Amino acid sequence: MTDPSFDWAMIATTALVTYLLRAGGYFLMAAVPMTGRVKAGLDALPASIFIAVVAPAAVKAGPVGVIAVGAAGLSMWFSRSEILSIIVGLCMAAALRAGGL
Amino acid sequence: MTNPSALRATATRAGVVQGMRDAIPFAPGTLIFGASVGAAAAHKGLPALVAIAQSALVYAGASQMVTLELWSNQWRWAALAAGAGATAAINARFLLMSAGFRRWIGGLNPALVYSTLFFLTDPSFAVGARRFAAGERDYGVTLGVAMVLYPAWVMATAAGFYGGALIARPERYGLDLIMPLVFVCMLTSFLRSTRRIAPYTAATLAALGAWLWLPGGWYIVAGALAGALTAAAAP
Repeated sequence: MTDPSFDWAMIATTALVTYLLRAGGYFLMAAVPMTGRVKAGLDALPASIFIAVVAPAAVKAGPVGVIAVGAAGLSMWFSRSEILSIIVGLCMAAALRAGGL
Repeated sequence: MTNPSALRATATRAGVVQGMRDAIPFAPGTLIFGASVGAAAAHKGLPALVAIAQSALVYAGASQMVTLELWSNQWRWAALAAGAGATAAINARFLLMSAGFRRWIGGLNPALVYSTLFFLTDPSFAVGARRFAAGERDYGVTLGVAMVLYPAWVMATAAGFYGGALIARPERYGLDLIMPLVFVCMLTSFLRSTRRIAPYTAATLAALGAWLWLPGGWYIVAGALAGALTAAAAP
């Protein structure tokens, strides 16, 4: 069971934060000039975020996680197909676990 | 020759139709990711209405997945703060995308712009950026993308919520790994276009270090800040 008041507070908070970011850049851009350093930092942000999510999650799942995530990454690099690469990762994890790893 | 920046921004019905067509390549990924979010919410034990409302009101899959990881089954201020912090870190890219729109559609009616910036996503930005870079100034294209992908996203969440719960022992099929798998695909797309060693090494080390030694979801914020600050220090 979950706590309904927490559920809705979490949704309201994250929805508000997300909308403020979506509207905020448009709003602020009228006043704030972007320097080279600010731009460089913001450019590196998305990939840094994905790394920060993927690396601990893969390590947490053990060797199966690291190998499956690595296989999906390689597949994505060469095929550029998200669907194919997710399926490759899922099959790799299922095969390794069926094999007892 | 006309100067593209001198063109007046518009939002036309023809643009909306064009945007709906431009959105089609993004539909399969949106459906699979939406279903994954729904399945993850069911796995976490959330009620159906809460799971669907999250997709309808937040409409940002990556941050929703991470928020689900941080969900608590009782009132916890720390979990709420971690959810807000992780959401801000993951969705900070929207701030940049939204800033880009100012140059493209600055002259439009503010009520229209602020009510529809809610629908800003990676695909809508990608489609819009391509059209605007070609000199077009029709915000209708961006709206058309949302008209296809938003209903698809919410319906896929509902389908994944009910369908995902039918699968017993999800780890047997590797489905517990779906979140890192979706993320590694996004990551690889970004790495193709921006190959930078130092910031991404810093992000990896900071994230793993924070994951080992800090509580909650702060490792995402730590990794994101380490990568961005390293890039800003040596642009």
